[in-house]
Amino acid sequence: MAYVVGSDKDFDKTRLAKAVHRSAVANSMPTGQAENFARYVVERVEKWIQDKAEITASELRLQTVATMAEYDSDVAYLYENENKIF
Amino acid sequence: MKKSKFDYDVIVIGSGAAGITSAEIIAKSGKSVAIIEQNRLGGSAPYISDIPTQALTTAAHSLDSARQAAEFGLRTQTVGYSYPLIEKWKNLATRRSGAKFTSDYFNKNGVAVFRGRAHFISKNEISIGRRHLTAEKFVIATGAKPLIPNIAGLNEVDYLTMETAMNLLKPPKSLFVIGAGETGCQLAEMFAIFGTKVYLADAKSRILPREDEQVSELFEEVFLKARGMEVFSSSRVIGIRKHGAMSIVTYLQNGVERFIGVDKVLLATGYAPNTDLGLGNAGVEFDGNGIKVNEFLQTSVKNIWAAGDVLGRFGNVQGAVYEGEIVVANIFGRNKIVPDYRAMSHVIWLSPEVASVGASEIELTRANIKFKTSVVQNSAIERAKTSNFAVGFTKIMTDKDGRILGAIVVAPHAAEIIGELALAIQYGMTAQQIASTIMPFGSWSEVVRLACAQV
Repeated sequence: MAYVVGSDKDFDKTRLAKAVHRSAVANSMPTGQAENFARYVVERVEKWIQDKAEITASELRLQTVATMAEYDSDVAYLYENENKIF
Repeated sequence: MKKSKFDYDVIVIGSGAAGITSAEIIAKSGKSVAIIEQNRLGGSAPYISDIPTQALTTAAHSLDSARQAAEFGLRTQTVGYSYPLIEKWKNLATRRSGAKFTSDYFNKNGVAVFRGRAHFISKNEISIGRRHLTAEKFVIATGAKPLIPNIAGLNEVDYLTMETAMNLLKPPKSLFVIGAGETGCQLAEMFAIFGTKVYLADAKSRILPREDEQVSELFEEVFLKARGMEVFSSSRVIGIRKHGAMSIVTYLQNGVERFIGVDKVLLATGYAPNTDLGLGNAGVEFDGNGIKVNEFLQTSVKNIWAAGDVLGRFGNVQGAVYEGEIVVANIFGRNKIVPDYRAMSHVIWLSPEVASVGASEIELTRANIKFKTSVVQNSAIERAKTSNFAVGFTKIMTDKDGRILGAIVVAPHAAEIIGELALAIQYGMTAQQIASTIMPFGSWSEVVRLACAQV
C-alpha cells in the first residue's frame, strides 16, 4: 500500500471513503447513492495508487477531486473546499 | 570543496533514446548523473517499437519480394515461412540492439542506475519505492505508452497492442486493426503479407491521416488491391464482444452500424505520454498531450526539463535523441538553443517506404506561405522498370526562390533517399542545386533529381 509522505502512515481507503461519503451527503446525495459514489471513487483512486510506493497528501487530494469531478462536479467542489466551507 | 546539498547534479528519469542521450552527455561533461528506469534499460525502441517492428517488417517484405521474384525467372511461387523462426529472428535483432543497455554499461560511462518507478515529492526530490534521491536538476524522458481507447466491451476480449502483437506465436487468421496511423498500417501490412485477413479502420476520413493526402490515397489502393485488406475510413468502432473464440467488432460507418467477426483485435490508436509521476508535487504543468515546455524544452519549473515522447510531439527515436542533446546544452550552456526540427525526417516502414522531411503542404498552406510543388511518379525512372516496382512518387515543395521547404519520397529505400533532402533543407539549398547534382543512373535517387528539376 502506498505510503503518504509527511503523514507517517499508509494510504487508508476507509478514511478516504468516509470523507468522500461526507461530501456527497453534504451535497444532498441520497445515502445509498453516496455510498456507491464513495466506493466508485475509492476504487478508482486505489487503482491509481497501486503501482506507487509513495504519494503526497496533496496529490492524493488532487486525484480524488479529479475522480469525483468525472461523476459529480458539485461534490468534487465541496470535497476540495471543505476546509473553507465547513 | 563545498559538498553539494544534492545527491546528484542531474537525475534523468527514463532510459529511452532521450534519457540515455542526456545522461551520457552529462556524464562526459564531468557532472554527477543518475538514470532512473522502471522497466527495461534502453526504453521501448529496442524491445517494443522500432527494432522488433523493423525486424518483422524486414522478414515480411523479404517474403513479399520473394513471391514476386517469379517475374525475374526465379522459381519462388511456393515460397513459405516459419513464424516461430521469424519470431526467433526478431528476438535476435532485439537482443543485438538492446543488449548493450545494462547497468554495467551505464556505470562504466559514469551514470548511476536506479531501478524502480520515480515519483516527484518536490521539485528537487523524487522517491523510488521508499528511497529518496535529490538533484539540482531533472530531465524527464519517460516516453509514452499505447493509448487504450474507451470502447464498450474491450476489456472482455484479449486484444493486441503493439507490444503483444510482436510476440505472437503465429499470425492470426483474421485481424481487425483499430487505428490506421503509422503503427496500425505497418502492422496491418505485415500481417497481411503473412496471410492474415486484415480489416483496417480509422475514425478519420482517410488512412495515414497525418501524412500527405496523396500518400493516403496511394496506400489505400495498395492495401485493397495488392494486400487483400479491407479498409474502412470514417469508421468508428463502438463495441467489441466475445463470441466463442472470436471477437465481434461493431463499427459505425456513415451512420450505419456494421459488424465483423475476427480472430484478434489490434489497438493502434496512438500513444499517451507517461506523465503519472507526481508532476503536481514538483509544480510541473502538463496535460493529456504531454508535459508543457518552453522553446528551450524547459518545463514550468526552472530546474526541470523534458525531452522525447513525453512531450507528445513526434514519437520517433531521432527526435528524442535530438531533444536529449538540446536539453543538456540548455541546462549547462549560457546560450540557450531552440530545437530546429525542419530537417528531421520521418519514415514509415511500409512497402514502398514513406519518408518525409520539412513542412507538409497543409502546414505551408495554414502558415500562408506561398510554395511551388512538383510531383514525379517512380514509373518515370529506369530503376522502376529494372526492379519491376513502379509504385510511389516524390513530391518536393519549394518557396518562390526554389529553396526546398518540404519533401516526401514514397519508394523502396526512401529512408535512405530522404537524407539528401534533409541535408538540403538543413542548409537552405534550392531544388535547382539538387537537380544539377549528378545522381547514379539507375538509382532510386533519380526520382528526386527529376522532381527537383520540374519545380
